[in-house]
Amino acid sequence: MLERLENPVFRQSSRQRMRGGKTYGCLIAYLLVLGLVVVISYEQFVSARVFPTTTGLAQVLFDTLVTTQWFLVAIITPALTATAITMEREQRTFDLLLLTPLSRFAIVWGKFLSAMAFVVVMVVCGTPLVALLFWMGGIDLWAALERYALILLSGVLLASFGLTMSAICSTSTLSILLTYGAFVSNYFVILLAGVAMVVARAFGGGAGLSLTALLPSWSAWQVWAFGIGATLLATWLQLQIAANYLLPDPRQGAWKTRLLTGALFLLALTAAVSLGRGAAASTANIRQYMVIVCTMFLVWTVPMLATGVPLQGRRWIEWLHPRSLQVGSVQSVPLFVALLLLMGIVADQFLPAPLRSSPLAWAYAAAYLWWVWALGYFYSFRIRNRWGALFALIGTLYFFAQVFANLANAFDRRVWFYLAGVTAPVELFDQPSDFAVWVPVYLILGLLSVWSTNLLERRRERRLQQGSTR
Amino acid sequence: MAIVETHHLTKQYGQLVAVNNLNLRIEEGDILGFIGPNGAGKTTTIRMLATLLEPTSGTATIAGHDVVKEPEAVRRIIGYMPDFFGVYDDVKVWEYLDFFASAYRVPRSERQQLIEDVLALTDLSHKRDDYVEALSRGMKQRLCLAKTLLHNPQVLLLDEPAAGLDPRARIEIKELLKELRNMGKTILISSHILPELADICNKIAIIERGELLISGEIGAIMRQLTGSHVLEIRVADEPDTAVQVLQSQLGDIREVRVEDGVIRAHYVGPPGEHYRVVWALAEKRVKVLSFAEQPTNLEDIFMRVTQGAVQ
Ligand SMILES: Nc1ncnc2c1ncn2[C@@H]1O[C@H](COP(=O)(O)OP(=O)(O)OP(=O)(O)O)[C@@H](O)[C@H]1O
Ligand SMILES: [Mg+2]
Repeated sequence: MLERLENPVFRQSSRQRMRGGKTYGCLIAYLLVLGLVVVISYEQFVSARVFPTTTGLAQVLFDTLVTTQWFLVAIITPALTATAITMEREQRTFDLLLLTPLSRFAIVWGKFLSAMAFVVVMVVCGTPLVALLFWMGGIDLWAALERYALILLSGVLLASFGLTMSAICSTSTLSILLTYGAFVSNYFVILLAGVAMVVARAFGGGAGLSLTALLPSWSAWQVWAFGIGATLLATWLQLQIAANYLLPDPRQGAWKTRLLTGALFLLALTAAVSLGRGAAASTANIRQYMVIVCTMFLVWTVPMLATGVPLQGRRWIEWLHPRSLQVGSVQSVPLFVALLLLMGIVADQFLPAPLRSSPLAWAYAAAYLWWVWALGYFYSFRIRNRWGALFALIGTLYFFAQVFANLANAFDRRVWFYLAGVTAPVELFDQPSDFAVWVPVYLILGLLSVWSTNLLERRRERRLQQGSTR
Repeated sequence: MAIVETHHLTKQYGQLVAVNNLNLRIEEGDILGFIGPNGAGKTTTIRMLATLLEPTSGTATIAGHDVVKEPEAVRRIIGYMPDFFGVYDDVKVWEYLDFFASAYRVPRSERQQLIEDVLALTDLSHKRDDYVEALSRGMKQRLCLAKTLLHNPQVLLLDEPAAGLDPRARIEIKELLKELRNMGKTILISSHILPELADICNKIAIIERGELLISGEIGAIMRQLTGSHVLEIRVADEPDTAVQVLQSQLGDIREVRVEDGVIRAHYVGPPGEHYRVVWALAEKRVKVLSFAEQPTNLEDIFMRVTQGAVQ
């Protein structure tokens, strides 16, 4: 019975990890940082004489320690999984593994468990320091447990995210870049806003971020149940997506990947809506909602835009053919996005009236995604390497937003902020009319880039033909 | 029924047709030598059979299971050894095998014995506790073969198992293959080192540019092709006259070459009648010193068949 539960991949990758010298170096560095942080803050607090009692000091030191631990776990965990599968591809061990009767999910699961085991080791290694603080007295046991639960939750989420990236990417470098890229930009935190909120609360949070303010109707355990549930579900979905990418040709499973992505999208919607619970149905609500929905779309649909293969035919009807969804072609993305939007609009109808987003918000989302897709379409034809296209796309989106946002700050002029809206849904819209303006703008921009892509492509083909006849 | 069968198997990479309309049959117990020059499409074919690559069109079945529709069933039957493969760092030889044994769901109680067995078979027992990455290339190759045998597969797909080995290691691999043949396994083995396959294969298939040029029993192919023998003729004086005579007999003789004063000519006339060539030479009073028919070997077949495709 036990043997059935045994996961060879878990055993194998843990064995490899625990044998490598790097792992111990990493653990020691981690402990050193923790120790240093505690010692330095102790010194500071004592010399500043802020705390007359040791109990108050212990609590503050404990907070510092756990926050550092959380930070380090968040930095290290994705590194554990981001190369898990790309390394196998690069070392050419992957084919042999795929040919075993292990299911693709079992492979992903084994890698995931092995990373989580290391996260647990990291947390446990910190306990002597924590024990020392407990001995000073004055630390709430429940609060402490809560924080460790959060560290583990973040670990679970980040490990599965790294694993998904390593399943999608072809090389380790790329996978690490994408993992930390998504991680550094706050996208990923927003992506699972529910969890982010729980985290925010546990760490005191900003005033605006406090869950208790946002969710008066939810008791603590409900918030927790939601946070844990959302995390586990998101993790499971991500692992499924990763497993699906292990097919010899990822395009084989395009429809399933998209189905799972759709589910992840719904989850994000739910998280976003829960986030807004209790807040007044003002524009602030819609704004937050929009940012999260769009972020969600960007993070998960953009990679798909770029991993698809351009169809040869350029007739619109071919783009909208459901079969194109199955093979994951670039052109099938508008169809897929339309389906997602539809799902969102349907889900919207189940919400209480004050929480329902306006049709304008959905029109805005649709127009924005159309434009992002069209830009991706442009790049996927111009840059014939799919990852190059992906980077160009994300780069453009960020670059414009950054430049214009900075200009707006520098010159204190709203108009610059508006221009930033070309590539990013900025949080500056006070009036619904602000959304309305952008709908036609995005539509036109999208049309322009599709049109120019096709024009350039036709010209290129003509040049190639002339070259071959000569 | 053939244990491995392909029907119009085709793989395209963009414009490039790597494997074109391949129809291959391997009967149970066959050792098929799959031969072709670099880039012929051997690896592509084998990877399609191993369920690692999806065919563009056509079908392939192994023991009646379709490689696209029932990959799990196929994977249980086959043992695949890739042309290039890596090994895990920081893992010992027995641990490496133990990992794959458990992945193939070999019960824990049987694993130990199984690992000893395959190590003995591949002559690696003394390396049991060495680290895998520290093994030499030949030993890694043998280890990979040992791994391939763990789940006792019925069909072995070996992609150039002898590539990069020294002559001694090659002979050892060959011995190993003979042993496997005696165990009743069906083996598909690809190579461009032809003479090596001659004494272990009973069938060969030659592929070039994705096209199957010829396939069947070695003997039959030899006979089919030995409609042309190579004649080796030595003459006393300059070979020019002799060459002219031979070339005038173009009906029976093709390709006359002179190497180091020895004339080599392909005889394609009726079998058993090459005495006519001697007559023709005698008629012109060519001073023939020796006249011999060379035995055809696999290399010859290969060169002749693939050359035909180039022309
Ligand atoms: N992933 C790929 N993408 C594009 N073309 C490929 C790919 N893999 C193989 N090819 C092409 O397919 C053809 C057949 O390659 P294959 O590897 O099957 O040859 P091979 O017979 O195994 O050669 P070798 O003896 O060198 O191993 C080659 O022209 C090769 O360039
Ligand atoms: Mg090859």
